[in-house]
Amino acid sequence: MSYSSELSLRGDTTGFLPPTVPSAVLAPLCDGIRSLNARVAEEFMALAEVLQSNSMRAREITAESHKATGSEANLRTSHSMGMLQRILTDSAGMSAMVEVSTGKMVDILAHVKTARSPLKRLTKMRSLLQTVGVLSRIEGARITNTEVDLSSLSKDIDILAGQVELHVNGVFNDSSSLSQVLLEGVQELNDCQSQERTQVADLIQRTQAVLGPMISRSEASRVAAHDIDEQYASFHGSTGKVVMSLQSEDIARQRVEHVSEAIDRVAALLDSGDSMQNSAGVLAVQRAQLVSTRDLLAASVSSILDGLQSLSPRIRELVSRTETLAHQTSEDGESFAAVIDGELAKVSAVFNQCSGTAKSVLAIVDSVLPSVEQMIKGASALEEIESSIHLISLNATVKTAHLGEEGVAMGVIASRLCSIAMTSEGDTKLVLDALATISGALTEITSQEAISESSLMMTGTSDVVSRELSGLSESVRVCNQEMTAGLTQVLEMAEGLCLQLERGCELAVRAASITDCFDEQLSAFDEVLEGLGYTKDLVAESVKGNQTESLSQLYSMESERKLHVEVFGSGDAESSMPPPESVQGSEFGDDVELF
Amino acid sequence: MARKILIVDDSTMVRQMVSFTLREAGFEVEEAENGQVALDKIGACTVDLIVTDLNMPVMDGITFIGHARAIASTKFIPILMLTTESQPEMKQKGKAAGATGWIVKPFDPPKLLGVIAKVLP
Repeated sequence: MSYSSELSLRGDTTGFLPPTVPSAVLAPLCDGIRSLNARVAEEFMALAEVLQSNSMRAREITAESHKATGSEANLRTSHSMGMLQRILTDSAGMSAMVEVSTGKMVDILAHVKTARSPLKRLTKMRSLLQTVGVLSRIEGARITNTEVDLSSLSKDIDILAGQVELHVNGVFNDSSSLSQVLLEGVQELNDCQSQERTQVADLIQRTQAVLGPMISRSEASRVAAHDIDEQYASFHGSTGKVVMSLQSEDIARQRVEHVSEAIDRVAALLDSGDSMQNSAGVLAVQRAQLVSTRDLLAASVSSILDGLQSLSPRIRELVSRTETLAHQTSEDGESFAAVIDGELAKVSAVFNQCSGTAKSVLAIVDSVLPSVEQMIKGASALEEIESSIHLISLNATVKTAHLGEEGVAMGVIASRLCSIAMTSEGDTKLVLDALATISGALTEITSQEAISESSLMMTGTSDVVSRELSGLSESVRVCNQEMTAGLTQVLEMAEGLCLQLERGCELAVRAASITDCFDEQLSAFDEVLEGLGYTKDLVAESVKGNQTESLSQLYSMESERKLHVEVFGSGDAESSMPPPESVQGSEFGDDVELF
Repeated sequence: MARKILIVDDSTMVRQMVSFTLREAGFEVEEAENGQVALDKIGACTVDLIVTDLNMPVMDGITFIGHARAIASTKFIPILMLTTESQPEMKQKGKAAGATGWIVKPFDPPKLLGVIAKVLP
């Protein structure tokens, strides 16, 4: 806005000397203009106070909301919820483990049954050996060749027959008792299993019904806290604009001071008899500076108002969400705890039952393991016996050879011994193979994940589980109380912040009246200049006469130089300005330069 | 421990706005209304960075920087000019006196913090 269009000067004045003492006329004008600074400072300081107190309140709200939604009790609840999840997983794992173990025990039973056929055949080995022993003794008595001793052969066969009886009977009896234990165990597990499967499924369903809303509430708390953080970040971003706008007070203050100083200088020059033509341009620039400053402040106040008004809906949204969450927390908390109390007793019972069944499996395995080991020992001993039979058979064959014609019958005995050894060797191998499979299956039962990973099952007792579950109930109650109280506090604080923001908006609206004060001073300015005899023509003459060169000495602010060009065109002011500096390419823009 | 920044400006509003911006960012702040008061402050406490205005009563920013650079504790710390002035010859004077950088008012808070982050050792 140029001086010529803004300043309404009437008529022409031919005389260039002022009609009265200029300083006496201009001094009150300077006082009026300086008073603008006090008014601007008052309004802007009040707005700065609003900004700072709002920011502090927003920070307090953030801290309180974090406290409310991330309390110690909340952490304890999370721990207990984790424990509950573990109990569920363990229960399901143990149930599956029992099912797998039952299947494996059925397999073991089948292998035991398979092993019984060769065992039955092995039981006959004793009588076969005894028969061979009797025949050996008879044949020994018949042979007259005394150089060959056949008595030791008969004795050895008798001893082996005794050992065979001992070991084969042992293995056979062990297999019988193993079958019995496994049969009873499988029966017991089958009974438990169908009942448990239903209970575990029911347990998971019921517990998830409790856990689901708890996890949802926990998630809602996290979202609420995140929202509050976002609102605060957004609040902080908006305060940046307000901070920039508030600095206009400092710029306006300096401009107004410069205007006052310029008018003082003009007054002094006029008092000393200087031509009005010389000062017309100066005063035109100062008037334009006042107009520009008024517009700057109006824009700043408008920006501050916009900034404060943009915060209100966000805070109101925050209040609304907090209110909903606080209400929900208060309403749901006690009922949650009550449900947890009721349901978790059942959870504890089912867990203990699953744990008991799983322990039964382990007990069965523990009880059959010695039998299996004993069977393996017995079967291994049979292998050694078979080796001995082979040796005796070889010995008999050698003696037969020594006897020549007389030992033909003894050769038949030696051959029979060899045949018995070979047959029993095959059966013993079948038994040992079956035992190896059984032993492997037992190891698989005890090394299942459900057992190795369930420390609860291995170490936990019903007391531990009950304690954990009652801890969950207690922490939900405490968390509920703390969270409700914290959110209520947040709600009150956020409502307070809303009121503060409203008050800030009122102050910004009031601050907009600063422009009226500027307009009053501008009217006074026009009246005084008109009274002194400044006219449009005089200003035009001042510009034409290139009388403005000395003005550049008054300019220390970029705005003044721009205004000079605006009022006088791109004449001497531009030429009096220093050449533009080469662009430094600062990463922070043109208004920042790092040396 | 928070870094301490000294703000030197005769405008209460600017001091408040810079303080607000810096405190929100976690800095500790000291304030002085002119160069002379600032010299008294740096004699009494250690600061990590100074943000100073140019035109101030009693002692202007350029003179203050000259004195500050003669004091051992502030000889090498960053000193930023924050002023409405943008004339190259004034910037040259500031640079010659020992200023680290020049920021024209009004300052943008994120930008001010960015500059401080860049120059603060």
